[in-house]
Amino acid sequence: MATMTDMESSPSDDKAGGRAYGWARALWVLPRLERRIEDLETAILELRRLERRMAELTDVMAEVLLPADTRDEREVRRLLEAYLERL
Amino acid sequence: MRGRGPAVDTAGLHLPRRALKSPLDVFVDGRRVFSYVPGTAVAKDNPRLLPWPEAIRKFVHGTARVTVRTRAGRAVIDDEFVLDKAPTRMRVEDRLGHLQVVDKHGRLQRTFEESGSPDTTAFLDQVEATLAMLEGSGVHAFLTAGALLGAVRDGHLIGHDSDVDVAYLSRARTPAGVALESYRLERRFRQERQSTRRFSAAEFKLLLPGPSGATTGIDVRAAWIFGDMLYVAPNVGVAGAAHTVLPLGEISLEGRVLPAPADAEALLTAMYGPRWRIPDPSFTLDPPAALTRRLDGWIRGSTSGRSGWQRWHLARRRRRVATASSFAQWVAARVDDNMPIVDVGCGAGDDALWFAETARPVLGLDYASHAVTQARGRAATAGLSTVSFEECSFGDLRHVLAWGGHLARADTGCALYARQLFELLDHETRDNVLLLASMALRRGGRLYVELGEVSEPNAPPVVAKNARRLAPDAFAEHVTRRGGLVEHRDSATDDSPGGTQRTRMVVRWQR
Repeated sequence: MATMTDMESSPSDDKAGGRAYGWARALWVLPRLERRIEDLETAILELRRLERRMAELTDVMAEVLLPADTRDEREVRRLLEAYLERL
Repeated sequence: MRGRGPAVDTAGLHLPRRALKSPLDVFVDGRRVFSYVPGTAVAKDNPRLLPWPEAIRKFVHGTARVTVRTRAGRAVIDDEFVLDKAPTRMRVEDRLGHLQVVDKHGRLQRTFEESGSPDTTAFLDQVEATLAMLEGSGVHAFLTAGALLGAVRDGHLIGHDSDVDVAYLSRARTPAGVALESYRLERRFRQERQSTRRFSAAEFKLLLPGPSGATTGIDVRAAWIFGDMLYVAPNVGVAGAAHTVLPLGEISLEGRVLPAPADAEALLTAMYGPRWRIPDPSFTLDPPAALTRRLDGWIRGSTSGRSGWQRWHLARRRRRVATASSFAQWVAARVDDNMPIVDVGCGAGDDALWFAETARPVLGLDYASHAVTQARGRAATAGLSTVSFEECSFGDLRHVLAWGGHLARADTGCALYARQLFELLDHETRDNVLLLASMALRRGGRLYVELGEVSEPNAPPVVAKNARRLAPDAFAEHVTRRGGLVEHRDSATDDSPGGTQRTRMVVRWQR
């Protein structure tokens, strides 16, 4: 009568073992994938927000800082007040 | 009130459950006052009760003929009801006596079906002028959304609409470019002395007073094409629709010939789906989550929570100067009598007005225009001439840098005052306020902060619900990263019912 040793297994045992391994790996990998997706979504949101912040900074630069003769304090104040008026 | 079957009382409308499975329109004395969408607004403890919307509860008095109809026109209720002992008919109206309707956002609006001819004529003149100004600024402008829907359906404004939407095709190739262009266009209108309010980096509203005194609005929305995607602020993004806009055509609206997208019907189908031809006062767009995330990142975030605060302040108009908070008194004892104070997030001005009672110069900044308007009115009533109030969106770097630069150049230093502010802000906006402080206090002065738990009735319910406790250590670290030095810090339990923990800090910035 054939006996099974530790080194031998039947094809059905291989399949069952493979499925068990797959389930275990899924249980380990899926939560990590979910966290990775959350991190990526957060990073994408931050990058997208940079577009608006860049526009805001550029607007102030273009409307106030670049036209200003920064040696003329009155001119800088005038530009700032006009900019605030039109926000 | 009747004992059985459908009934109406001051709580709301008692309807068969079957009726609440379909959209309904509610009329009072023949005028629509609100619409209902299944799955919303039913009382949790009584699934047969459709409560009156919060915006109109104060009008629910007296008697009224209440009609509730399905979209097919079937009457679920149509009868006279005595709501309470008031001798008048129930009437949902504004201060000027104009009938109003609750819009799909829960706000009271005067709709076109209630507007008289002079208002509508004047308004359409403004729509034409707005489209012309946009064209003159170098962008192709056209009707969109409800205005386009009405024009295509029957050439008329949609009765249940309260404003008109126009769009322009941006020439920008990046979201930053779209925003910059929108800022520039808004400035053109403000240079012409028009009132505006910004809703996102790609949309602003023109506020227009009509001949009868009612204010209507024109939403000016950016549209832009990236690849094969057409985006239209605030929440439209469709693939394969770029060809539907140019070259612009024309369409008739209330007898006026106005610019329209090249293929208006295709654009409306792409935006609203195939059922756009059926009028629905309660229709709201339900964009895909991925699109919402994309647009949230690109164009939104500078006015988070503002609409909730606007409604909250509008519902709480106060006439008297309220007693100052204990924090205001604590700060006043530490600041020279003639040192100007800038109240950051001043609300309707309780503390700012108290500071001004000693004739000290005070500036109140807040992003809610209703709060600023009320604060100005209260200052005028109280005869306080040294206090002023201005709108400032702390989530918008343009406001932060301009106000920071302005305060840094003032003839004297100032004290910045922030009570129940930082705990309500997201990280980016909190950082913006600290940036403003670092600029304003560069020549001296201090930032005075009180942190604590914010709860109703001191904030709108959704704000109180979403406010997270801001750990004082985390805030102090943030201050230090922004170059500030915490000179003083103390914590105590305040004297509110239940006693909440509060922390006070005094911060300065070195040159």
